[in-house]
Amino acid sequence: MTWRYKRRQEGGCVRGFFRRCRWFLKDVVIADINAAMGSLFRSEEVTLAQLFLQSEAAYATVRELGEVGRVQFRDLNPEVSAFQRKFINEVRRCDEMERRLRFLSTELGKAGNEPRPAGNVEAPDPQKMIDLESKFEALEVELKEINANKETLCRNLLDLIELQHILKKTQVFFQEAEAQSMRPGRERRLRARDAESDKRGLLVDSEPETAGGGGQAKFTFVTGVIAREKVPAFERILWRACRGNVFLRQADIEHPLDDPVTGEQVHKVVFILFFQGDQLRTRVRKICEGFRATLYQCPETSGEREQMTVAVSNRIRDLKSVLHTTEQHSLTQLQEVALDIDSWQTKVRKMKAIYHAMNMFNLDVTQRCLIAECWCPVKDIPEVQAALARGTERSGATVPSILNRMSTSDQPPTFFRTNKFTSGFQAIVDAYGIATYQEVSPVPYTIITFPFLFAVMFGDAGHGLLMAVFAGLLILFEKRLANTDVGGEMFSTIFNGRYIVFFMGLFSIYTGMIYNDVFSKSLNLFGSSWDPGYPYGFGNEGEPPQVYNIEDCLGNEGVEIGDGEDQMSEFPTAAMEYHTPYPFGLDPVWQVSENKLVFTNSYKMKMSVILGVAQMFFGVILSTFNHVHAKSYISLAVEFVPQVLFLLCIFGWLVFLMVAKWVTFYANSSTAPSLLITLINMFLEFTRLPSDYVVEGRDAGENEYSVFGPSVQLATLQAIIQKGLVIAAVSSIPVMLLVKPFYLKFQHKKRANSDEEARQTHIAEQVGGEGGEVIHTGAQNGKVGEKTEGHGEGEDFEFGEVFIHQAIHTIEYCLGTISNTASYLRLWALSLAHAELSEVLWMMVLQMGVSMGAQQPAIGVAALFFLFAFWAVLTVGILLIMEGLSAFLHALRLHWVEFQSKFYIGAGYKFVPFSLDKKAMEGET
Amino acid sequence: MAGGSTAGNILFTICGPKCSLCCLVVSTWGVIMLGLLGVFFKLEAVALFEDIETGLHKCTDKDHDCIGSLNNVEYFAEDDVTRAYSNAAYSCWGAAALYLFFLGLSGTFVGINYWRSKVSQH
Repeated sequence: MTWRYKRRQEGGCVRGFFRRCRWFLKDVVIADINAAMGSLFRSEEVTLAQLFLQSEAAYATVRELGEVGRVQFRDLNPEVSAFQRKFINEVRRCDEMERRLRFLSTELGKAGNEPRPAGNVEAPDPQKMIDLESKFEALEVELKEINANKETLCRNLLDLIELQHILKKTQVFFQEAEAQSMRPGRERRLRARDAESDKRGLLVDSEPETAGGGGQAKFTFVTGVIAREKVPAFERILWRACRGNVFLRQADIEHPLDDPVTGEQVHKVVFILFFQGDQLRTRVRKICEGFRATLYQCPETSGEREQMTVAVSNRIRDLKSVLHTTEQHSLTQLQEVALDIDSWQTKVRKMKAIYHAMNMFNLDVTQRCLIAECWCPVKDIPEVQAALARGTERSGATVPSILNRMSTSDQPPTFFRTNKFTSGFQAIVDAYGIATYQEVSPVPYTIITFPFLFAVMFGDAGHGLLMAVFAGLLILFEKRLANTDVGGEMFSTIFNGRYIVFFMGLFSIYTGMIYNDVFSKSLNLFGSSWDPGYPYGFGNEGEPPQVYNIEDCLGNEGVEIGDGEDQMSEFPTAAMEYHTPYPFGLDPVWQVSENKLVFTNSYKMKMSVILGVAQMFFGVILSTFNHVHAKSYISLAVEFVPQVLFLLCIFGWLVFLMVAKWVTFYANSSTAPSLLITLINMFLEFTRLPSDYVVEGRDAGENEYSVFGPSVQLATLQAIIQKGLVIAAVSSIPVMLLVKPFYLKFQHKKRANSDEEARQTHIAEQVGGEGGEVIHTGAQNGKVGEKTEGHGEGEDFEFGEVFIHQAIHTIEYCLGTISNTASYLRLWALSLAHAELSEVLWMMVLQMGVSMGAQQPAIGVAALFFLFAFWAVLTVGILLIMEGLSAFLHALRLHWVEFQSKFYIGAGYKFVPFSLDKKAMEGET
Repeated sequence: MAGGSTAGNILFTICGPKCSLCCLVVSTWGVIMLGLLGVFFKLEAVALFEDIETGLHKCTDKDHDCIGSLNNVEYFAEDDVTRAYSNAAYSCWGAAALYLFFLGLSGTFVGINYWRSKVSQH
């Protein structure tokens, strides 16, 4: 008994422990993850809800909902055209008001008045709409009237000014003519008899006083003003049409005149035409009309002209003062408008948005209430309900609005709650495709992996520092910069991604330190483990300095100098002193060694493959969350497991061999096995073992077939392991391909059978109890919905389609694993290109200045001054911007294609809440 | 403004707010980087040996002030190397000083441009 009791107690203890563990996992860890990552891990739960709004409270409620901005309305009457909707009248009135406001704001712009920015203004009550309308109308009418008045006044003024100019200029012509008339009569007569085209003669004869003789007809004249650019054509037409019988004199008006209609400045010319007879007069007048010249009556005698000049200048003065008061009046009007126009615009825009939203609602049968359907994040339901209550209260409605959750088979929109830090990374993922509802989101990992992969390709601490400083400044002044729109679209793109750029910079500093590249130069922070010193620096104290060429000392790759003394005995002892390895990153001595590229290429290539396999493996692991969430355990078993096997058995093993090769010592470094050949032989030499070669009498080489060490046993062991791995990898392909479609087919059959049974029992029940369910509550609705969904899936099941889908998926994964691994080699390629480019830039530009300075410091100063500026500009232009852009794109590709293809579908659509927020509304329009 | 003369106006239109800011950034960078580069040259950093190597006199075993040799490769006289390093350091510092001057100049330009834009706003 006691024993049993003890056992039970123990069992209870164990069970309690497990229970506690489960509690810890479920309530603490998962809750913590949910709280910390919030909606970043997967998109938030969004539910469909039905809103019942009283007709009189609808406007106020929608306004409150818009201010909260947490619901996305569904269009309940998509088949109804825009003109047949219920609130189309209100929308039209808003349109009209917007038109009036646009007119007012263009007037403001003309007057150069800056509208005062209004803060967040609430949409007005619907009753206030009439007030606003009448106010805008009155303003529009008044401004239009003022404008019309101003225009007439301006035209009058222009006429007067032109007349004034005519009087002034023609005075000169007449004076000239008078001077002519003083000349001796004979000469005058001769000239008069000359050809008609003799202008001076004509002019002289045109003078009424001197025209004298009854035999000669009286010359008349017409004065007017014409635009300067029309003068040559005008002149030509006159000549041709009147056969040279008209004489034209012209004079420029020095100052350009304002055109009252267009407001532009026009250069004009005063002209006077002399001719004879009425026929010519009509012809001349028609030509003037055709050229839009304005004609003015000019008195013939100088006394009258003087009188007129005085009168005109008096009238101009009067008109100017009238115009001034008119302008003052319109300015004060506009100033008043400028104070309020921004708030009016927001008000009208909000009203219009509200009526637009209400147009999507359905009317209840009783016409008493509006029914709306909306998507709403579950977390925000309390907030939405509070908004509903506020709306009811403010409108004074007696019946409260009701929110009713519904379930649906439609896919809800995808909603991520982002902040200014995560929104940039979310945008990167969204650019590929909006996450399917509740799918695992790559964003939380992208925050780290994206800048990291970028930095692997952009590994230079100097460039990273510049980038980080630039982005840091953007972040530091983000509030000030967010409000100003300097720099245009390019700048705003970078500004929106400032946190990404900042992270990219920081990570580049890190990888730059690992590669030991600072503007392509290495930092010797901890002292090289290779005893460099420049050529004469080797040697112990007391001994004469030994002079070596470093490149010769470091000619061979390999760190095994201490152990490999036999082979390296020709090198002096000082060079072979073997310390502990350089503590962080690459040893700086590599920068000056000849075989730098041989080493870094091998290092970076291996690193890229390791990073790539790690990231792809992580992506495959993330797919488990999707399988578990969809409760598709069959996918977990026959998709996830073989996928992991396939990846790890081939490329996981490759990574393992890399590490193994790295830690293994090869006495003769030339006999170290090639990893690529090893991988290929895994498949090609599948049937052979290294011991076969020994049996065959061929030399297998000391360790040609083993990465682990120089023995045939080890080589055989490795070969056997590899055969197992190949079998596992290959056999996982049919599992991936075949099992799931057949399982689904089996399930479908089973479900079809059980459905048949269920239907029969259901019929029986219905016959038994009639009218059991009349009212569908939300929850029951949901169940019904799920059932119908189940039916739909069952009926649509087509084996061929499922199988083809699975085949495509499998092929994509298997081929993808191989090609994607190769694709990660771009990490190496890009980082090589970046390092080489920056080294070349240093060598071609800055080194020139330094080597000049090494011989002649004075020249060096001048050369360095200019070359540094050149180098700096090129560094920013080529290395930071262009190389940065290309590394960014490649990092983007690695995430979209190589990483996300392992788990991300991205077939969702975005949650776009109805919001009256100013920024959101501007984005829409 | 104080420098309301036409010459001043032309000068400030040539080097507007963007230009002067750009100059400010480049000269700040120049002062820091060339100053540090000078220090590293003075410390005779191995990494910078390539940069001074071109003008150096290469000597052979027979030369007087070179001692020892390795595999008959060419090597350099110690004095030569030291002189080249310190020369390079001095020219870096000289250029850094020039940039310091331009830093002050572009700094005043930035300040004046800022002030002008403020004045023109009101």
